[in-house]
Amino acid sequence: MTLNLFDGLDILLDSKPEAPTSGIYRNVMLTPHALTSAARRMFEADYHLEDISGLDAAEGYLVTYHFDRFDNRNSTGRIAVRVLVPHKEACLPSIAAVFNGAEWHEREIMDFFGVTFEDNPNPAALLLPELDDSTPLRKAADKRRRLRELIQPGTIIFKAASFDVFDDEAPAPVAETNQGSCEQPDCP
Amino acid sequence: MSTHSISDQISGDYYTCRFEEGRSEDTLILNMGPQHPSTHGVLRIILELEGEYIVRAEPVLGYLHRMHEAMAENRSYVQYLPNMGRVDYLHALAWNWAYVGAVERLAGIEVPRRAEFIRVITCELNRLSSHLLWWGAYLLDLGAFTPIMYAFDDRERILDMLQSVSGSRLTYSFFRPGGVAFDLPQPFLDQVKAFIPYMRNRLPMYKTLVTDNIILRKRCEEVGWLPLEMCRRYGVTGPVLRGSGQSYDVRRAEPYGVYPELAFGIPVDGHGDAMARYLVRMAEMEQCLDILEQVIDAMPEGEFIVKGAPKARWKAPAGEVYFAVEGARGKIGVHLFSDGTATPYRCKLRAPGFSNLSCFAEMARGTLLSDAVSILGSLDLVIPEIDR
Repeated sequence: MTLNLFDGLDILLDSKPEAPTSGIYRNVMLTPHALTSAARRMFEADYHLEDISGLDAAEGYLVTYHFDRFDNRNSTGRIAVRVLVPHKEACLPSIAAVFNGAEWHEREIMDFFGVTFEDNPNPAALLLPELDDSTPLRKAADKRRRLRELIQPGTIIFKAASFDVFDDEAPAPVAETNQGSCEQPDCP
Repeated sequence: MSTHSISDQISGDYYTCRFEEGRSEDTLILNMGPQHPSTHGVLRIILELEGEYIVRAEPVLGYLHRMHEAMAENRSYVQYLPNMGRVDYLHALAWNWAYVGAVERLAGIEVPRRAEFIRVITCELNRLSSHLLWWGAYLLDLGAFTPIMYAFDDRERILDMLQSVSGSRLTYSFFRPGGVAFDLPQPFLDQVKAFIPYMRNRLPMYKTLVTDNIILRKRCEEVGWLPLEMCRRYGVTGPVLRGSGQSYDVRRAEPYGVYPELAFGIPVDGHGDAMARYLVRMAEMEQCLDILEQVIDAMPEGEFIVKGAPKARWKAPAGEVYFAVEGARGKIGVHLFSDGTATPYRCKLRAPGFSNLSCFAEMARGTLLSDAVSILGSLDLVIPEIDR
């Protein structure tokens, strides 16, 4: 069942990392607009959302959604669903309508990275003070590393032609400044 | 964006103002916490009440936020270890384990067998002390004062034992990538051996005096109903999930250490109410003793830390790793990115209490205010872990 879990969605990369050395059994990179449909399919396939983990890399913000199942027998192990958003328009759709627990995880990433999640039901500051815009986990442009220095995609099952982040000869991304995210939702 | 909106109808801080916007007529807005005695530590919950019933609830976090994840990015791998004991001070050793486990998986470090046993002994003792504190504090929330005195008496014995080997009583940083900081001396093992029958005698007393008590049952039974499907929507794990009938334990689902060699069941209760979560934790205390008994007898000789274990300026190989362990409150996860330097590039901490609390708003809807106290206690919240 999990093999065709992402069929028909806009996949950029589907790979199997070395599970014993990474703890991740499947690695799926999606385009941001495929995210909510993917979340819905994960929900229907009995997965739960473990956490959402942000990362500031040279290519942009990589947001990783970890999914796993409660029933050990049918579990294929942890699936990392990832989306990459550029620093300049750091905006993703919210999956809180599918996995309600995502609301807090998304708000945490808004606090720490300044990535906004559209349609988050309550996009207020969660852990940082409400007027704090220090985004403590953003990195200075010269401190950012490229994704292929940080992640081993493992055995590649599928790769979209346009997706060159993990290619050896991929050109280095242009250093981007931190400013700009999509329009902040109105807060009182 | 203004912090305070001053008008005749709406007043209060940022969160109260936001919360007031969705308010219906003839309801009362009540701030419970951050200094409320049943919110243990500094959790704040804004409630909308209609009479004694909760219409809406919203937890407000961040009062104990210390940005542990950013601290990981400005110190070396080994220097970050003391932070772990401060994330969740009640089950510090499980956080120790989650972090050193992630580093070991990243660098491919093999842990000596004796060290694996030492980890199980200390981690299970710590789990027991965590459950004991939860038990005492929960009953205190529900108005029973005496049990916490008994719980602290037992817990004190565990703390004394763990202090004798680790040097600290609460915020342990006893594990090391590649093993543990000190070997367990024979007197310690004898103390644990003597403690097991002592604790086995105490638990039936707690059952007769407290668990079977009609007042406790009235406060917990059919209160805070949490269906399994809701657990999945919120990512609830640990005893809270097992109280909803799902037999899920990271020690079995993603085995680590020597847990696959040990015989222990996963206590489950399908009722999904506060009482079910209570009973699961009580059963887990017995299970901790069973595990301790097995490992103490099978303890092998050997090294307690691998030769050439990472030192202060050790450089980790580049890569990404996720490592999960079962803490007293559920699945603890460490998601680590390394760029090959001596400092983690990024360290994400998955706190079980964070997900467990996130379902509170939905669970509390329509319940009595006094039941909210019972529900919060049954989730076993440790706020520094939630806020990190």
